[in-house]
Amino acid sequence: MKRVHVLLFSVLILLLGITVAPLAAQDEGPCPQMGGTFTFGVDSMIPFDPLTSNSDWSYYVITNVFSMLFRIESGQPVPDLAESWDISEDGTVYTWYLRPGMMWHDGNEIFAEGESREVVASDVVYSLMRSVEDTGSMLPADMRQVFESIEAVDDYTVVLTLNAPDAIIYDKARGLTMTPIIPKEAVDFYGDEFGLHPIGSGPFEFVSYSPDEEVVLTKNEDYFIEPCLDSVVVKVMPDVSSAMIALEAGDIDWWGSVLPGDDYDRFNGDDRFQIINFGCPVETRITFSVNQAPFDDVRFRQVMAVMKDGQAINAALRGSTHVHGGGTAGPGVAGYVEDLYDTYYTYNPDLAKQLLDEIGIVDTDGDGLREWEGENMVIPMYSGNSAPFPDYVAAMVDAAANVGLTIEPVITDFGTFSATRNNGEWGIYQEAGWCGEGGTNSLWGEGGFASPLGYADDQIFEWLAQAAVEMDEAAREEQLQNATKRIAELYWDPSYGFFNIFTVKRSYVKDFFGGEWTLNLVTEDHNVWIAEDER
Amino acid sequence: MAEKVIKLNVGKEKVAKSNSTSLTSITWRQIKKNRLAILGAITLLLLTLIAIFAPIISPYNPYETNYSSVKKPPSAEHLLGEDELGRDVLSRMIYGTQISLLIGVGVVAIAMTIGVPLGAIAGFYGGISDQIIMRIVDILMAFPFIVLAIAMVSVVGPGLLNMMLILGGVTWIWYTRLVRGMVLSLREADFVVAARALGASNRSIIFRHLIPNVLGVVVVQASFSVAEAILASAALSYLGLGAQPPTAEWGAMLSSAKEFMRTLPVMSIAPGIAIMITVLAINFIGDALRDALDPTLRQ
Repeated sequence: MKRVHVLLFSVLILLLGITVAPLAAQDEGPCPQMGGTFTFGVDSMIPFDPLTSNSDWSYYVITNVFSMLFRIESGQPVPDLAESWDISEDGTVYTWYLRPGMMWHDGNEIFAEGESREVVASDVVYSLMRSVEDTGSMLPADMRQVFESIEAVDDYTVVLTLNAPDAIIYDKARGLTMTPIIPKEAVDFYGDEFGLHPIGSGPFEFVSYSPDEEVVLTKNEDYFIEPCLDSVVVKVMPDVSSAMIALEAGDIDWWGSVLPGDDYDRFNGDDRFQIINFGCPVETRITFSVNQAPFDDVRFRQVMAVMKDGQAINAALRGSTHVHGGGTAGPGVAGYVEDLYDTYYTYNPDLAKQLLDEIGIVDTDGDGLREWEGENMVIPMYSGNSAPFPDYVAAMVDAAANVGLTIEPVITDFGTFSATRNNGEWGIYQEAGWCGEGGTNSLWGEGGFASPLGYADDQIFEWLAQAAVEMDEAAREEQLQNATKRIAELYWDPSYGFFNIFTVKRSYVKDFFGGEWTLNLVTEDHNVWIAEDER
Repeated sequence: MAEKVIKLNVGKEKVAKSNSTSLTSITWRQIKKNRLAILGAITLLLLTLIAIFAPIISPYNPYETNYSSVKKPPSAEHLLGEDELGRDVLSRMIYGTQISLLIGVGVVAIAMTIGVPLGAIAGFYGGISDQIIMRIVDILMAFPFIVLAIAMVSVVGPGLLNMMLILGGVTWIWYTRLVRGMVLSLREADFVVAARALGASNRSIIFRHLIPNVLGVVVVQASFSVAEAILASAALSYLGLGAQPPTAEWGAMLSSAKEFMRTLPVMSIAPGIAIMITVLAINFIGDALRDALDPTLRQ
């Protein structure tokens, strides 16, 4: 009888083991908890056409709706649409092998439900050529410079030929890092409004976009990795203080835009939150319409640089995230010049007044305001409306008043600011951003992001072009530093200093890699999920 | 005949003046009885004095930055602390009084300048001019005025002057509607018939007889509108659509202070209370004026 009991007990244990073992294994799998909505906030958002979208936060959506050849994680490429790739010995020919079975999102005006088609090599060729052929596109300057041709060998093989190796092809947000693959039929159908109806093959499908409100994405069941999340909601929250309250209340799970210094101090060390460092310091700067007088005079640009106490302003407004220095490349990034700020941008209002006198911008009627072309000089200063940019403008107004100039603030939403800048309107622009060594090239290189304002210098173009194809790190460092110093000598971008970019998420968001300009919610290494029981 | 008309008009003016004085004294007597109105008037007077003498009483330059001392709580040197750029909050509050009162009065002046004559024309002439004016009013009244103002600011751009013009441009309808109704009831009144019989032109009847007779009610509306304008301008500035940095305007100060609401609440509380006190004071006066000028409410 006892034997029977032992036998029965053993069978029970075995059955229990068979039942529970897979569940236990599932808990340790990529999605310990499936489903849920990941809600995050950003301070601005513009439409999602990769050709024209120049907002880092819009790229959070773009990189999840569209698949790309590859994604970057911790500085290394990980496969996405391309399963694998070969690089020729001289670094000029890339052969991309595409993943079969990647389908365009369906249930939309282009691809009816169940009537989608496969993403093939010709789509990759179309997507890249669309950016190459449009000189105003967001294609990074280094890639534009070395691009030779792209060809679809068959449905799953693409060959990209460069005229020289691209040293920063995998750099953050540069090179080929951002290669959203788009369907030609959608662009043909929607035209300029494609950005409002993005159709891709990425891990999440676009559902809706309410400008200045929210973007809704839903899981793409056909993606080659099943996303753990059911949906993603992006809230547009220009008021950062409200966003911080929403984060604390759990209304948003991640604040994807820049975390203010005060809030960094508040969240740091709190178990309920996790602070994420973007990994490279970013400069706050001003730029000008340099091809228009008097900004075409280097002395006037120098006035703008030294009339303000940039470091003090940056330290006041960025708090503990402030980092001393200047230049597009910050500490730890190729091209960083340690003494750049102290050499060129040190506060010196007396020098500013002297230079203005030399230029002939003087106060002739004794009202304390300097005149230019017969009238008191009033300079518009354009800025986005999210904090702390308006405060930088206020600081500039005060600095200008101290040397007899009047700055008239023009604070608008980011979209209007961006359009004004792209039109090259006369005035000063309050800016920040760009990190990674490719940033210098993307911003100041030929056809780069600064070009709509008239920035062009052959010597800088040449150094940056050389650096983009220079595989020797020391030589590349020198070329980038040369370019950085010349940019400073020309007073192209008077600096306030750097700030470290931090974002903050709730601790119940798991397996989250962070931003780094692209947002990889689903890759072979990471699949973000929400621990609902920890909410 | 012309001489006679002139003489008669002069006579009428004298009568009107005598009536006006009588009304004024009645109104004043009524207001004096209202303690809240007196409190409001004293507060408003104080605010006006603060605005006028801001450069003298302000302890610091409201726009002067001090980056070595930012986001500081109240102290003996800075009674309301220092903001994110090291500017003295009290000084900015004092200068903010100038801007807020200017906005309140300016917006109402713009709105009255447009709204009162249009209302009088619509009420007096009736017909097609009434139809056109009142349909425009109806359309504009279909939108909450703050939403309309936000939409218009986003078109013409933010700024103090733009904000005043826009707020005036969307609130004139209140006066038009009010004045039209009053004029409709007055246009057949004896004094209008008499003026017409004496050969007065329509223009003269509207501007010399009708409008002066509705001004009492318009003043009551204006007193409330000043408060509305101050609140609306604070709201627009709070949204970044009104006064631009570094202008010391209460709404704009409130907007930038919200970033530091947890760490430096006084930066938010001070402009908030200032707005509340000003609006309350003006509303007390408006209430008293309404009570005094309305015979049915008169004690």
